[in-house]
Amino acid sequence: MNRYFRIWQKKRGARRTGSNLLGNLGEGFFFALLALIGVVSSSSLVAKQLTDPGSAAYAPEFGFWVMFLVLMSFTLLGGAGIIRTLLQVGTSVERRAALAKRAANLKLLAATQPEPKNYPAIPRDDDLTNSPGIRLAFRLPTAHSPVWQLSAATAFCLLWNGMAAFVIVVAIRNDAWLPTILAMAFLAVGVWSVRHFLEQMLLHNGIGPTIVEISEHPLYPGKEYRFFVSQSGRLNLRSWEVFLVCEEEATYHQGTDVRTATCVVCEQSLFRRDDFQIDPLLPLECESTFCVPKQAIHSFCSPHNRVLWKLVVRAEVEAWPMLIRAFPLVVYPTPRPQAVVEPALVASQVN
Amino acid sequence: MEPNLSLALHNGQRDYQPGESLGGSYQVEAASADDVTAIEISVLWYTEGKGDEDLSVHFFQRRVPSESPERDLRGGYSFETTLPNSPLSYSGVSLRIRWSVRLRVFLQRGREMSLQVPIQLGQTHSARRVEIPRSVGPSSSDAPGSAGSAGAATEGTRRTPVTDSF
Amino acid sequence: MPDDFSPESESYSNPFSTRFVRPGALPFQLPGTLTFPLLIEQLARQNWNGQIVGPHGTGKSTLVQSLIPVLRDAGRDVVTIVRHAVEKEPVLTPILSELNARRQLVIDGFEQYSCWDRWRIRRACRRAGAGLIVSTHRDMGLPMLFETRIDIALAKSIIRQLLAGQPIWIPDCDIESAWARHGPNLRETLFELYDRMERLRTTRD
Repeated sequence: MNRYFRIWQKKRGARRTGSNLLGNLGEGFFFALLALIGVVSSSSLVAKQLTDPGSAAYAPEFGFWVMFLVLMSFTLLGGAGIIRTLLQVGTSVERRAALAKRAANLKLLAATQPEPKNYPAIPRDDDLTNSPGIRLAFRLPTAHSPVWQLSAATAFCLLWNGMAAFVIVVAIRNDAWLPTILAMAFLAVGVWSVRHFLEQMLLHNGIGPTIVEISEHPLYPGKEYRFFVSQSGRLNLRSWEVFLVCEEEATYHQGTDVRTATCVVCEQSLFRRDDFQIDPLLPLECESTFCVPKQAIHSFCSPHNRVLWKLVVRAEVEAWPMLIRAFPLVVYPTPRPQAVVEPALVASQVN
Repeated sequence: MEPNLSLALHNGQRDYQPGESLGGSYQVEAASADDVTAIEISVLWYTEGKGDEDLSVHFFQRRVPSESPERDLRGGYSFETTLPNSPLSYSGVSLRIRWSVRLRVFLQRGREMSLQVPIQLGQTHSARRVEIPRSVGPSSSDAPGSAGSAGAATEGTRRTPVTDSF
Repeated sequence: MPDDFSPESESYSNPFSTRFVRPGALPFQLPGTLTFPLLIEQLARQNWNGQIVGPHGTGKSTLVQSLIPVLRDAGRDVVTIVRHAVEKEPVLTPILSELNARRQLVIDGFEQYSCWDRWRIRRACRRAGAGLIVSTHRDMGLPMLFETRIDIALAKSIIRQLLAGQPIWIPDCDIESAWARHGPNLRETLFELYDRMERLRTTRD
């Protein structure tokens, strides 16, 4: 007991003697409480002003606005703190150290990459090569970060439930039916927002981050590359599979509607494992090779059409919806020895 | 009499590699010099398929009568350009990337005529749609618009904690 | 590893590609004895104001595109605005400030504008004596110019036009089943037939 709930902790350089997880939980609880106080108090302040404008204590003067700003700052600080805490849970010390160690080499690496201007209509890969990996050269970012979904769910949950709390209090004090109906509506949405927030949080923390690294970038058709994938979390998995995927994406405006059609034209299974558990302390790791098919189309990007290459991790998790995480790649055309950067324009009149 | 356009590539070549030189000649025959107000020759790529068309001109040249001493655009001309590294010609499912040489002639009273010769840049295999088998339950994706679900899990495998890496 | 890329055989254009079916690529087929000159006459009687109403994918934008050259031939100075649901709207003020009696404002997707902007546009056109033609999914209070609707017979006629000269033939039952799923939205029907054509091409190759 004493080992987990120490009153005093010792700092040894950058390390702490206590549990990081408990520390993060405590930090998260503190910021959540701060945000909730801010939301409830500022909602009450504004509502009181609207319902009882004659009250001297809540007159819209300097004091009112100072109080409002202070309470809103509680909300913002608390919300930002929660998000920061959740982000830190997924980042290891080794990762931060590797980033610092390899930062100086990034300029050298960038010099060997093909210049984007030599390859028209091919998407830039700066975002994919500015993050060094631990096991292999580059760590790939996800196509769509789950953090934004979690942040949005958090913010909405806090704000809405703060307002809902106030509306419920007003409804209890008031005998009229309208506040009661409003309170029920607010409560229903509030319950959904809490459920959605918990789902997102469990998704983010329970399933854990997926790390994908590759040996080289950009990629070329017909060449072989190494990849490394790590999946952490506390999971019972029915299946976990890594694919190399090529997808066509076409956007069309027809009349006033705008639609996007996607079509998978290449899907290669690179690794698969069935029916296993992932322990929080023992992430699933796999390292292997893959080959971009010879004479495959390169990555392509134009205003309404794209060809996207990516590494996709699909996991069938027990009691969870299927998880799909995509990590974009850029495939260049096979380089030609006599490739020239600028087109030469020559025209003459022949009589 | 309607003007007669002709466009020919060197050696009748249609297949090119990135960085290769593309050249040819074009000719406009018309009854009168005043018929032709401008001539444009361009090397371009465009997309075709389900999405809205995108187009990009790699080489473009326009001739107007004032550039010619006799103010007469009739006759033959040649052009040459070096093809870029990308995008390569591609025949996909929702999307095709096509290269072509296009000759466009502008005539009196707002009329215009055009002639197009398709070319192939690079060598990519045409693609086919991959049918993805549907899984039982709904999916939760951190990447909206990504490919569908994975295949069915194998049954009867003993659960083991994963500690290996390879 | 499976290779999903197979050797290319020949150049091929799917007849249902956007370039062949977008508004302006296909001529609008007016019903019965109605012609574009008659439509312009009707528009002139309505002080050059009119609305084209119809459900999704029934050819409103195609009719707008077909009307534009006819309006120009009739001496109207046409200014066109196409409103897409997810794109930033064009700035209205400079357009509305330059209206005059000869100008014909044509707005594709009128209901995408807010009530305030719709009121602004109508007021500006009324004050300047300019004409206003809009396409919309519901009644916007302007005089009715044309109500677009497509039935299976018209859809088949359009599809057969697109398939003319194609080496691959789509049977009537495929067209009818696509129409059953998407009708009266011809646009969605044509996109399903695009996919059908790709599958037939794959089978043939």
